[in-house]
Amino acid sequence: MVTTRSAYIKQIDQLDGHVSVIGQAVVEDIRNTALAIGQGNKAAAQEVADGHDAFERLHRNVEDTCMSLMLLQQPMASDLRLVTASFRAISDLARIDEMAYETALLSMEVDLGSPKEVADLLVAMADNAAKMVMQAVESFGSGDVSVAENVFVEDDTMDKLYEQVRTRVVALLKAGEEPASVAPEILSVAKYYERMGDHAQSVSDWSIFRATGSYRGRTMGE
Amino acid sequence: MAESMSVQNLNLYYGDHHALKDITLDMSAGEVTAFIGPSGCGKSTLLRCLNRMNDRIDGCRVEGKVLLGKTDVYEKYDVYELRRRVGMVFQKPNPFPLSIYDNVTYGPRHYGHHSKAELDRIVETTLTGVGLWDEVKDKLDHSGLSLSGGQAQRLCIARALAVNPEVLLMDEPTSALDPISTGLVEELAVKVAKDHTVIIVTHNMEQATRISSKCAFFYLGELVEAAPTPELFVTPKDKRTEDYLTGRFG
Repeated sequence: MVTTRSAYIKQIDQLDGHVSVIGQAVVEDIRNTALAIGQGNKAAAQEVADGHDAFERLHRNVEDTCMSLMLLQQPMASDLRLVTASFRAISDLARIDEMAYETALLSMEVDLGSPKEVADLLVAMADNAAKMVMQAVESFGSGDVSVAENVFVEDDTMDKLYEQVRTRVVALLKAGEEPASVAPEILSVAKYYERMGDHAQSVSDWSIFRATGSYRGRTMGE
Repeated sequence: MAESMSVQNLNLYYGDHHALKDITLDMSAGEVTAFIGPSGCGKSTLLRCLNRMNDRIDGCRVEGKVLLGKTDVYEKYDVYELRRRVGMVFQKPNPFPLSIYDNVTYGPRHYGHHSKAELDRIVETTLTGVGLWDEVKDKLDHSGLSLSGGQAQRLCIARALAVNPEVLLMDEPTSALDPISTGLVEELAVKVAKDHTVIIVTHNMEQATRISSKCAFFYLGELVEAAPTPELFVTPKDKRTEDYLTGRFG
């Protein structure tokens, strides 16, 4: 096939890869927070903290690429869908990574590993968040709408886990038992994971838009 | 009220060359329809079928129907009346070597308007309609050739509109104009479409997205795909359209 805009097409192809790289970095950071909480692995938390600036730079670079493509190349059809969806999806992924970073910092400041039953719930939330992000990013690359739709199902699990953490923390506070003093941090972390799920859903919305041109049931131009 | 146009199973041959292949397409009144596609795909040829501009080309043969409303313009149709009802603006502004006033009144005079008051009214109304009146009202006796490219193209549009057509065909009307004049002509096309059927051939895809409601993509004489413009430019159905729009065309 003869291509008439080879430099542009190279940029488009690279953008596709960059979204995947960002997604993988976010999944890795979420998993490290699970290690930090569940196993007290401070090195894993430190890895998230240390990688934060590099992640931000990558996010900005990809954001600049999207802006440049939109302003200078006027992409159309599937390219337009890729660029607009990438621009929004990487914002969601950056928000998720910001929350993973905050979680990592909290895990280094206070002991989130006890009581164990609460820590296990937080680890389950982290695992679920990582799974949701992974599926959302996978569907973004593959165009498989059914994988993206599965993320919405997983969010119900996330909401239930959050409720379990909240109930347990309320019980701890009522009993006045230690570690009630870290209850605010525990709730913050649980909320972070719950919101990571929401952002993963948003990435899935953009995956569906990229594949179909339809965003949350609305088709562009209607 | 403007009439819609449509073509049904239209085939056009230049001698042995099959230039348009079984085209069926509706072009609605009250909106802009854009024809896009690579050079030689047949979009201008189709446009010229709509007011029978291909009639005088040796070896050109047309089969199928071209309907203005419900009437086939290739069957027992007075071609002069057809061109009054279906006006045309070309790629390069082509004012007649006459005064601005006479450029606008050329058509109305041909179709029987001779009263000075009536012609004055047509000139003012039409030039106002194309946004040219304030620029030329004090020099209506100047040659149409003295105008800038953008002004000359708007004069040509005024000339086409002066005979009160129902359909306006525009064949790459801004390809020779600067961005400001292009913007004025695009705005004018959208305005004219409110009470006309406007059909535009353009190589400028951004222009098609800006001004058209419906867009048709042609390739090698075939109508590949026609759809509401946002749909065609965001989610084209045919791979050839997708490849053309994204520059992956071979």
